[in-house]
Amino acid sequence: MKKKIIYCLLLFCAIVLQTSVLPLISPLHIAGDVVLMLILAGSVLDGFFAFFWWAIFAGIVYDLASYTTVGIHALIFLLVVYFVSFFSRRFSVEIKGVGVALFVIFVAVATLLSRGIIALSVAWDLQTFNGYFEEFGNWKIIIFQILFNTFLFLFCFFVLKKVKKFFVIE
Amino acid sequence: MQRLAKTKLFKVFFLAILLLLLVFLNPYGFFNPFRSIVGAVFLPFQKVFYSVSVGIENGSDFLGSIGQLKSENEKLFQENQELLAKNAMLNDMQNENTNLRDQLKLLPRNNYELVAATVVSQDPHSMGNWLEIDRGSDDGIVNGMPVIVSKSILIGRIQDVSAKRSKIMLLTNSKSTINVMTSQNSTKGVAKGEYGLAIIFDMILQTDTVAVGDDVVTSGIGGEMPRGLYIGSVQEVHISSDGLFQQAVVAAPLSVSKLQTVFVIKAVK
Repeated sequence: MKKKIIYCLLLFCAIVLQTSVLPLISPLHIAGDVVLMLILAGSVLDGFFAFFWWAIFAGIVYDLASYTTVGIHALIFLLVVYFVSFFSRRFSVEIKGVGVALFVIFVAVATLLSRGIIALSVAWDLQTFNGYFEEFGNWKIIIFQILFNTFLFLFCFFVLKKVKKFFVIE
Repeated sequence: MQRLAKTKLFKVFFLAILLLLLVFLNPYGFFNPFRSIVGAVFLPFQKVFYSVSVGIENGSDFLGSIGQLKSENEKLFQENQELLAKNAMLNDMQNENTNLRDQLKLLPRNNYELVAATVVSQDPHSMGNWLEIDRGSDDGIVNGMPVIVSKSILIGRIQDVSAKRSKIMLLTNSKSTINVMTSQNSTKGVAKGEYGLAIIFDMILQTDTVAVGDDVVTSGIGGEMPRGLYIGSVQEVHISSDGLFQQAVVAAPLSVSKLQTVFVIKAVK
């Protein structure tokens, strides 16, 4: 029960930050995705079987709160959790050595996956793929967002780790 | 079969199919009641954080612009002098306009029934597609109502409404299309949003005149928008990719990402 309350509060804070803070204060108006990075951090720390239901729940709540098509973010988060579990089984996922490189890869893949699927949903809405790559964004925007997301991921990772330690959550 | 069902890949595949089915339920409004409930929970917190963020953004803008203040001050002083003179002339023209409109029995301008609303959140991916406000169906808001700032600058229209909040589809949203014209020559066309970044004045006939600096306003054709709401000014004119029409890029007069208060036009009096 304690874990559920803490995770729900963290999710709530992340969604409020993402919808009402980051788009305003982000430099160059390219916002990172703190909810996505929180899910990524959670899947790294908890593993697939302990976290994939949380990822789906978070995605559905995020979609409802942010006027996105319901199911889109849940799908993105599910795929991110699966991707992380695929690699973290084979490599040691810590903040050193190969772990750091893995984290950057996780952030980059999660960012690209998120942008790709959201651009796909917009193209589906408009019934045309003409503007798909424009919606996806150019390389400058993507690289900047990956950098921003890397910073957000490290922040979320440390916060989640500290919160789990403080509240003795397994 | 049981062993297969327990595997990660099977779970992911099965759930992905379920989530895609959810996506197809969206156009039927299946999730609207849930969206209202979730929105009502988030709304008070979003309001507080949004207004704090606007303050931080304004503060950082101010610090960044200190170096430019002196030269901008001189430029604004000169502009002010010119505007004072223009204002006197326009007052005179306004009186004449009011008299003529009265004689011709036309609707008075700026006579809208407005509802003031506070912006509480925006597109989380910063794609310039929508804003959310703290007014909804409880305040008489319905889909399609135009949203303005500073009396007559159009920024978008209401797209989704729940009891206490609404979503504004901005003019830069790819789904936004509005009948517009230039105020100088009454050249007509359609203003379309482009990927949250720009407004394109499209479907301008080759025989019509449009020039850089022309003001683009709503034409009122179709009755969905009042006539005369300002959209922006023409920045660039070129031929469309199919060669049939002219196209112009329209620059909006303000940045919607920093808006705090907007006005929804409920009716024209």
